[in-house]
Amino acid sequence: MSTHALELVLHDLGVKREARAAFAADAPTFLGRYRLDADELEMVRGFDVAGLQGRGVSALLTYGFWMMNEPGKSRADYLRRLNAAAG
Amino acid sequence: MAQIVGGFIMPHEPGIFYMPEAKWTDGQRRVLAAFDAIRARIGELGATTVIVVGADHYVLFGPTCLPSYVIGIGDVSGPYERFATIKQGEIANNVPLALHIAQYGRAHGFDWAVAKSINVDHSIGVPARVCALPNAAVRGVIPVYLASGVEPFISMQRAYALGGLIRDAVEAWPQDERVVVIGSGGISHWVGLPQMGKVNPDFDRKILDCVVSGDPAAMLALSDDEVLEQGGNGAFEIRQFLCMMGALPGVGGRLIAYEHGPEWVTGLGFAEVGNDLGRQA
Repeated sequence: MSTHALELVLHDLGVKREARAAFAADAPTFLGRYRLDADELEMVRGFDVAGLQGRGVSALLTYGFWMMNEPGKSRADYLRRLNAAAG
Repeated sequence: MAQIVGGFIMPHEPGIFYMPEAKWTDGQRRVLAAFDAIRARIGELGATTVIVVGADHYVLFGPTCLPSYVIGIGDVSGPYERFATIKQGEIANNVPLALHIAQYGRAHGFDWAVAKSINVDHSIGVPARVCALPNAAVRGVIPVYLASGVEPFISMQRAYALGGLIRDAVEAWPQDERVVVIGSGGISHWVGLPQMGKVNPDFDRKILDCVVSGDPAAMLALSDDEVLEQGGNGAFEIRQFLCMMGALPGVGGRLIAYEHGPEWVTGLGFAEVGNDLGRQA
């Protein structure tokens, strides 16, 4: 629906332990709490940090989201993912 | 009468304090020595209160409320991040002076947001724990956050003016108080962007020259687009430096250290300004 809704999801997933647990357990149900369209939901589920930044989401949030939720929690993997998208 | 007796800039890069001693480089040792030097200078200045100006990293404040500038007027704790060598828990605040600064601001065109209870992050927790509170004479740390990490940002001009407001408020405080102001921030760095890890030493030196000369003009002339291009999104934190400089207008100083390297993600600048160090002509 908006950059703001995406930022709200990612902020919650950065700072709220219960949100991270719910996202890890059942991402579609967790994300159903937010006003996201199908594209946005898929970007969050898929850790598409480049796509999220392309929608205007703060890089502070995409980085925090990755480091707190992506299973590998690796900065190098995060940058590989970002740079792969950049081509 | 209260007075501002000195100012400092320093980084708060978490990687410095996450690094185990076994991995310390020569650069890391110089960085830690710079923190030690600032801690010692705060003691030599006889500071009784330290105002630390930091940046939220889209953690303390979220999309539901993003203050332009906020001052802690009550309970303070932190840092909320765990570092092996940095204590957590309560941080003593100078509540009467903090409340005075907030009220003085509201009477003079600066409508502070206030935090009655705040668990600060590393941007305030590191300077407070590493440099301020180890000095027995320091009775309180007053936290100030600027919107320099998350858009919409406080303007550079407003950040500088806020420092002037802090100075005026301190000087209007009738009690004896020796106040140090710390601008806490990295210089060039690209946080969460594809260039993360890159720094721009030329940009960093330009900023440090401004701080040491006590002349903010070249910094104030930078647009946000220019800062982003030359210094990355993390360089918006130079607003904290400007706020400190506004509290010591025209006052020069000395560079304590500058480092960058693969150990960290930002240019790390340490400097002191103060009347006994130099005044801009």
